[in-house]
Parts: sequence; C-alpha cells; structure tokens
Amino acid sequence: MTFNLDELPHLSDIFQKLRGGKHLCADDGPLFIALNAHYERFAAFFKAIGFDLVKHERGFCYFQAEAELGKEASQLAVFFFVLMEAWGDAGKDVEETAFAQSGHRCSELPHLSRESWRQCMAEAGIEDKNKLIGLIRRMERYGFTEWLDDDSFRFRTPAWRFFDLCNDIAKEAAAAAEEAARRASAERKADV
Amino acid sequence: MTPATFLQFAAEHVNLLLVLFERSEVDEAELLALISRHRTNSDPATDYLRRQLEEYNIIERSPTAETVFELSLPLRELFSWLTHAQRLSSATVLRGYLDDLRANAKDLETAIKSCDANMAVLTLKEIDGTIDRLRALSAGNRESTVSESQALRSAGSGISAVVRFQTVRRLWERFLEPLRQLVDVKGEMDQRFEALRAVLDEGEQQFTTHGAVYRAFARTIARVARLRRTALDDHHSSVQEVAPLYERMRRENLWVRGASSALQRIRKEGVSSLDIDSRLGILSWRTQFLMSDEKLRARIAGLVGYQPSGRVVIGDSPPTPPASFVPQAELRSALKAAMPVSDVLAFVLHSWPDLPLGSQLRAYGQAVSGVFGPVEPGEPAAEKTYNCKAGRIRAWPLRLPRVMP
Repeated sequence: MTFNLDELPHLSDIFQKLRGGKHLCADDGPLFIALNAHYERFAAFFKAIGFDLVKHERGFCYFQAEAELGKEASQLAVFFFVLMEAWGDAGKDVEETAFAQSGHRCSELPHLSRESWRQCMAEAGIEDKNKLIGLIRRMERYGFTEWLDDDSFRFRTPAWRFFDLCNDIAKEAAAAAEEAARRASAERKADV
Repeated sequence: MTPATFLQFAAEHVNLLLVLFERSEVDEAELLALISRHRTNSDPATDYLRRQLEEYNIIERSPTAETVFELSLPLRELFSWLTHAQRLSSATVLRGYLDDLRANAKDLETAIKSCDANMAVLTLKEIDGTIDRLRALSAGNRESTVSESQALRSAGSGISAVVRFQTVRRLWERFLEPLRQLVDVKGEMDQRFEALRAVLDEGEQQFTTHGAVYRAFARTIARVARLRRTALDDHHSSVQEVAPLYERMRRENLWVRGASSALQRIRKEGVSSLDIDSRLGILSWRTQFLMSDEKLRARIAGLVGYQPSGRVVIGDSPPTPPASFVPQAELRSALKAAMPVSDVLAFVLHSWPDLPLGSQLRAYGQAVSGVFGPVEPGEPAAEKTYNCKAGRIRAWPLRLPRVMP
C-alpha cells in the first residue's frame, strides 16, 4: 500500500498530538478539521504504521492502545466518577453540568469533601489538593479538559469517554445483579 | 349561599384560598394566622371569616384530626384545574368510566329496541356526563404530565438524578404506557367507542321523528367523536412531553449508577479491580534519547563548512584467514590434472590431508555429484577402508574417468 503524504494535511502535528495520547476534537481547529475530513486516509496510514485511530460518535478522534497509562488512567477515571456521583446526588443535569461553558472551579471540586470520595481518591493515589490540580493538568494533556483561568477548567468533548465508561460499568453491574438474583432463585428452588 | 355569593367570596379571598390549596392541611392556629395575614381593612373580623369558610364548605375538617382543616374536595379539584396541577388519573380510573359507558350502551340499546324515548334521553344524559368526565380526566392527565415534566426539567438541584429518574419512570410506566394501550387506535377505548357509536347511530335513526330525542342522540355522537379525537391528542402530547425526558433521565441515571458502582468497587476491591487502563486504552507514546528537531538542526548548522584538519589514513586490513574448504575451481583443476581418477575419495584425502574431515567430505561430495563428469564404480567393487587424520572411513570406491569442460 502506498500513501501520498501530501493528501494528509497537518500530518506531523496530528501524529505528534495523537501519539502522546491526546484526543482531538473540534476545539483543536485545523488539526481536527483535517483529520475529520480525511479520516479514512489518516486511519489507513496510521494503521500501516501500527496505530489504531478511532473516531468517536460524539465527534473526536484518538489512538486506541492496549494498555498504556497504568495508574494514571485510573486516576483520570476516579476523578470523573466522583464528579458524576456528586452531580447526581445534587440533582444536577449531569450532561449539561459536565460540559457547561462556564467550567468548574478547582476550589469547588467535591473530591476531598466526603470521606468515601477521599478514600477512592487516595486509592488512586490522589491524597491532597495539589495532586488533584496536577491530575487536572494531566487531563488537559490528553485533551479531556481545557483551562479557562488559574482556578477553572472545562471539559472538552472527549470527556464523553468517561460517560461511556460509566455506562459500561452500570451495564456490567446490572448484569451481575441479574445473574446473582438468578442464582439465588435457582438455589432457593433447589432447597425446596 | 347562592353560587353568586360563593363566587364573590371566593374572588375576594382568592389569595387565601390558594395558600390553603398549596398547604393541603393547616391546624386551627395556622388557619387563623393565614386569614389574618390575608385580611384587608374592609374585611370582617378573622373569626367571622373563619366561620364563613366553613359555612361555604370551602374548608372541612381533616379525617386525621378534628382541629386540622383542608380545602374541600370540589375546591381542590377546581384549584387543581385552575393551577394546572391536576392529579394523574391511572388507566384503572379511566377503565372504570369505560365500564360505565358499556353499561350505559346496553341500557340505551334496550331503550331503542322498546322505542322508550324517556329512557333513551335519561341514558344519553348519563353517557354525556361520563364522556365529559373522561374528557376532563384526559385533559387533566395531559396538564399534569406537562407540569410534572416541566418541574423535572427545571429541577436544577435538590432532587437526585436517581429520584428524578424514578419519578419520570413512574410517570411513564404507571400512567402513559397503560394509557397508550387504552387510547391507541383499535385499543380498548376505541373499541368501546366504536360499539357505543353503533348504538347511537341506531338510536338516531330510530328516533328521527322525535325532534328532541334525535337532537340528543346527535349531541352525544358529536361528544363521542370529540372525546376520541382529544383523548388521542392528549395522550400523544403527554408522550411527546415525557418521552425525551424519560430517555434523558434514563441515560443520566445509568451514568450516575455506573459511577456509583465504580466507586463502590474501588472502595471494596481497590482501583485495579475495574481494569480501567485497558478499558480506556489511552496511548502514551513518549520517545526517549531521540534528538529533538532543534538540536538536530543546530548540529547540522555546526557542520556546514566543516574542513577536515588532515588526511585520514585507513590502516591495512588484517591478513585473510586460510580457507578451510576446497573451492570448486581448485577442485576441478586438481581432478583435471589427475585424470582419470581411479578412487575419488582416496584422491581427496591425499590431496588435502590437513583439512578438517567435514571439508574433505564436502569436496568429495562435490566431486562425485556429477558436476565435473559422471562417476563409475571403482575397482575392486567392494567396501574399502580409508585412513585420514580424523580416523577411518569405510566407503565403496568411485572412479572419475574424465572431467567435463
């Protein structure tokens, strides 16, 4: 297979970003416009050099890896799980709240405010506010967040990956509960 | 009390009545306080107003306690309608009215068969009442659904996502879905109306000559047609209002439940139990020890115009080690010189006695392979023992009479 690299605009910049784990979306302007317009060509080219380019239905692209980040991936996810639970408890519209253009103030983050959340954050290696801020900075590197000013950030479209994660876990939990109920029922019948 | 005096009193004290409607129940002290707060200077004394409220049957004592009051049922219904806060009527309630209609239709059929105009008019009046109540319930359901949906949409905070989903799910599963089965085209309601319409048509024909009865039939037929149309419209509007909300809250609920289950598992089994790394699969490929473009550019710039300081002398190469095999050309010329070779193996062992046995056998194999010419069995045609440095070899002698060019 041969590729005409002239047909892959911004290839170098796009590759630099994607290989670092960044998720590219409309906020990335010309890079995403080029990637989106020539997605098939880019995907074929990256496939040929060993990278799996994924286009999410919500409109962003990223390289899918087997398992790379280790603890960092867990930290990103736990950060989001806590936010999701906090928004749900507060009765907020989670989608609207997550992607609010006004963003989220670091000083108002709920992660260290409740014992159960503190435990989960500590389990992921985030024990204090400084580490929490550091985590948000790392999220920016992967294209999940964008800083608005020194104290506030907003979620970019790729944060939908965490919604997907919540969805998957909920479905697994429901399936597990169903299976447990089925087993319990079978055991009761066997006892009878 | 006449309707006029009642309505006048209600109009003069509408704010008080609205507060009583919102509170649902108040005790004696609260009631007096509310009356006092809403009383104007031109109004009678508080005690007098309190008595009037009871005389007009606006308030009644609550079944829970003698000293607790609530707005009477007709007033509650009126204010529910006025404030679009009707209660939802379940499919069971509506089905009750449909059963009434079926019974009415039977009575009407009997009246038509016996040409009993009085009976027919009375039954038609009952049918009209039932149809009007059904229409009011249908409209009430629509209003109530819209109000509840709007309240859920605007519930910015306070009610958790899980509770909001439970509320909207109840709305959907308890009311809208059973009602859909009821009001659907060819559903239960449609079938009842169809049957009633057939009886009404028959009655209209039967009493063509009885002007008033004929008109009563025509009015009821029109009412049935209107109810069929509005019931379907009301339900459709309600579904349109709730369906997107239900879907949105179902998704929200799933996300929140997913996050909560993830956090629960993290607390119980640790963060690794979720295998988040492979689920997210975020690539983090960082190059190490690779020169940056800037450094490379600087290095090349430094090399521009480079002048070597002196002649670089390349040292002599070490001597070529002796070959440990017999090259094909050497073998060919040796065989050619010794032609005819009566015993090829003896010749090879004799010509290259210092070579390792493997190289001697490789040369022998090449000599008898036919590339230099055909070989023949040697003399004597019997197995022979050959001595070499490595030991002894037993083989049948082979002869090479000539070497091909």
